[in-house]
Amino acid sequence: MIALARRGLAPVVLVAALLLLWEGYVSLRDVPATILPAPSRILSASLAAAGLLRWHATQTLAETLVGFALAVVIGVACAVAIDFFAVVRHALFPLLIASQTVPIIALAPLLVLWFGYGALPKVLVVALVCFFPIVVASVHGLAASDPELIKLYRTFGATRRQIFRLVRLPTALPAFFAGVRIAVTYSVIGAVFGEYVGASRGLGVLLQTAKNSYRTDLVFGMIAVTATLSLTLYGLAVLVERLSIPWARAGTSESRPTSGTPV
Amino acid sequence: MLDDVSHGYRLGGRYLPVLEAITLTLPRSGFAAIIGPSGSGKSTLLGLIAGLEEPVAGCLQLGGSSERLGHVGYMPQRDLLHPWRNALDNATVALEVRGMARTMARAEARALFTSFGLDGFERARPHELSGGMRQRVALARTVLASGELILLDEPFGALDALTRARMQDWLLETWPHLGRAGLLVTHDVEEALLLADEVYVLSARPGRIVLHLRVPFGRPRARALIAAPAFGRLKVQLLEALGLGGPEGGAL
Repeated sequence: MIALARRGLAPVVLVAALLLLWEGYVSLRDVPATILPAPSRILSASLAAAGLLRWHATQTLAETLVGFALAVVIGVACAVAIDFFAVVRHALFPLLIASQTVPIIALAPLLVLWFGYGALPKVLVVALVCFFPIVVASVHGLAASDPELIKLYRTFGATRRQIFRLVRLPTALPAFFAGVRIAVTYSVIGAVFGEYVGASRGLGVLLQTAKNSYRTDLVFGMIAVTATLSLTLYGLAVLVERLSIPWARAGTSESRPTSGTPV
Repeated sequence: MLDDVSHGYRLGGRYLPVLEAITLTLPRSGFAAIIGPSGSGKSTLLGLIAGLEEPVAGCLQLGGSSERLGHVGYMPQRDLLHPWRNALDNATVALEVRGMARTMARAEARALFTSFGLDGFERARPHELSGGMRQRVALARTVLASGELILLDEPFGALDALTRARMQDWLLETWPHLGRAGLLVTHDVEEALLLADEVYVLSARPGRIVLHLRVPFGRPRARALIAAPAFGRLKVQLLEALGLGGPEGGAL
């Protein structure tokens, strides 16, 4: 318990110390607020613009969630297809890897060009960014089943579909959630980037207008909101993971010292 | 049951024989053991009998039919229990595969749990059970999956020596009540003699039957049997067939 409190406390203390250093440096050296605003000024400016930040943030959050959901659905479907059909695996997997070499910085403006200034291109950027880690992790998870276990199910007379449902799918869940956690951390930034390239609402838009009008304090405020959104979504993903696969943390099927239990 | 069965694999364009001319018949409710050195094709033989593979040559039948998948119980060396299912639901998987309703499958498993001394552990997760208990849950799963025959692939190989001895004693006591024929693969000569009515010794690759021994001890048997002089003599005979402990052997 104490160790846990200490582990939770350590980063808080570190962040507080850094903020104090920052505050002290800015006020001592009299740094202009357009270059580096003090944390206190960022906070007051953000609170003053809270309504604006919320208005933009809800848009970004909505795009993130829709894009992420899209990535999960299509990602899992692709992973299953890749796993089930060798042809799909051979055709799709190199393409998937190659798709990651296309810089999103080049793709985002194209998406705006094709789909306009609405939410759709942002949703697509989020989906593209999240898609890859989810597919790769899911494919990996589906391939991770113990071959002995599959043999055992074959002796039961199980069909391929039954083996998939009863063995491979549950086995793949921990890896799938690992992919989800990686994807979630990218997702908000994906949406912000999509907005930055061209939009009328969203944290990316706020970032651009704040930067152009030298409101550096609001740029930092926007960064803080983005980070909070990302961390909250990550926390939610971890929570869903723990609720869905409690057994993944409960220890492996390998032997554990259980003295006292009869043989 | 197995008539002149041979098997092998293609490896880089060459045929690698694994089993040669295996002929053996299992009595309906008897217990046979196969011992052999590593790489003698013991596990391949079980895979053939279970129906996971078809032999390259020879005839393999189970109660007059060559269909085996879904009819033979297979007990692997590791328990392979699902961490996401409790003990009882781990035992019912084969019944679920066959489409049996969950409540009925659970009722069957529960009855077996009672005779396996697993009462009260139905809802335990695998990691909460001891090695011996997990192995009994795995055997319950195998029994529910099986028709008349159960194959045991070094079922106690992963257990510590003491747990292993207890499981052997428990199996001696429990097996007659299961009403199944058993075929045990092991490389433990004592285990084979203690548990089986017949012992087959396989040679090194390609595996051939070099000795077929009928174990003359009646049942019920107890562990004290291993101290009997006749037991020791049979042990020496088996070890010699394995190429160990003979006058010119002494590889150990």
